[in-house]
Amino acid sequence: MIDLADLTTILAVPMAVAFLLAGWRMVVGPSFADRFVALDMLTAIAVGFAALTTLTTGRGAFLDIALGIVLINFVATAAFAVFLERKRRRQ
Amino acid sequence: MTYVAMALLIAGTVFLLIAAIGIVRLPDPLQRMHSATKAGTLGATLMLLGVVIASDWSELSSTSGLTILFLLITLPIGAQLLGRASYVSGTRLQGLEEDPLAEELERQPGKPDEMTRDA
Amino acid sequence: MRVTRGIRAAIALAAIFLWDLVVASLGVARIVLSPRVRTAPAIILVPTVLERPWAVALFAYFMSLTPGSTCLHVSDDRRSLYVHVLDTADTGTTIARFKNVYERWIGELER
Repeated sequence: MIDLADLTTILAVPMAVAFLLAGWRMVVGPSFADRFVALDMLTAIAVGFAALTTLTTGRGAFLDIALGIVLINFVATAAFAVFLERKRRRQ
Repeated sequence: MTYVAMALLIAGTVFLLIAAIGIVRLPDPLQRMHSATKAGTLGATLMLLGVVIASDWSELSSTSGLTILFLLITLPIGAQLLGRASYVSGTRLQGLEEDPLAEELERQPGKPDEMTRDA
Repeated sequence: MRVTRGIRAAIALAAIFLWDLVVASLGVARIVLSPRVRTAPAIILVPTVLERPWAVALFAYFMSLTPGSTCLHVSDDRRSLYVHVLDTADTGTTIARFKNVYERWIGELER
């Protein structure tokens, strides 16, 4: 029967595919909003990767990284939204 | 117990993959947001839960729990801010049948691509 | 008496919300994986009877977190919410569902 270490290695493949798809959307755009939605998605995938890495290496430090990514992503989203709305007001 | 963790990890990965496919296939930013921020977060949450169970509720679970909590708190707020900002900035929306919001908020005319240039 | 009612409402909200989260995620998955993506997005106006600011915020929060609907804007007098829904066959039932499920329990919590 398959064990946890093998499973985490196998699951890295679909995660990488998801990462590529989100990255493609981020490069192609076409608008700012699309790119930031893709950034949100990349954050979720990065958290998933951190979870997988925690299981393969057995180090809890990767979960701290996931927590940091989540917090930074929220600040980035909020800053971007304020930027877009203010841009409208200036014109 | 390991099988529960495995099932959670697999389910989380599947949801993340579906969310990524949705980002590529759905036609406009607001619809993509539905796919990315919600299915994506559900996927990440499931994977973190899988880690908690696989590690037998060790000291890792406190960090995992905190991460899940922050994901669930910040996500809808971020989605609302981003959705409103992309609506106001005049993003092209496809197949919108009714729009009562047009009376409340004024939208910026013109293509969003033009903003990229003068930003 | 008041405390037990609040706890009951909070538990009901959490349970309904978790169930909705899974069901609606599967709905999004079905739309995304179908061979031809066919969505009927709409922005709808949801009036609310909730009064306190935190109750309205909680209402908007739950609607945003449920897949398939995102709160875009709250009017200045906090009487109506503007919600973007991904796939609406029938706007009336969507609004009625929000009001019956979430608004009722949050109203219970508010009292």
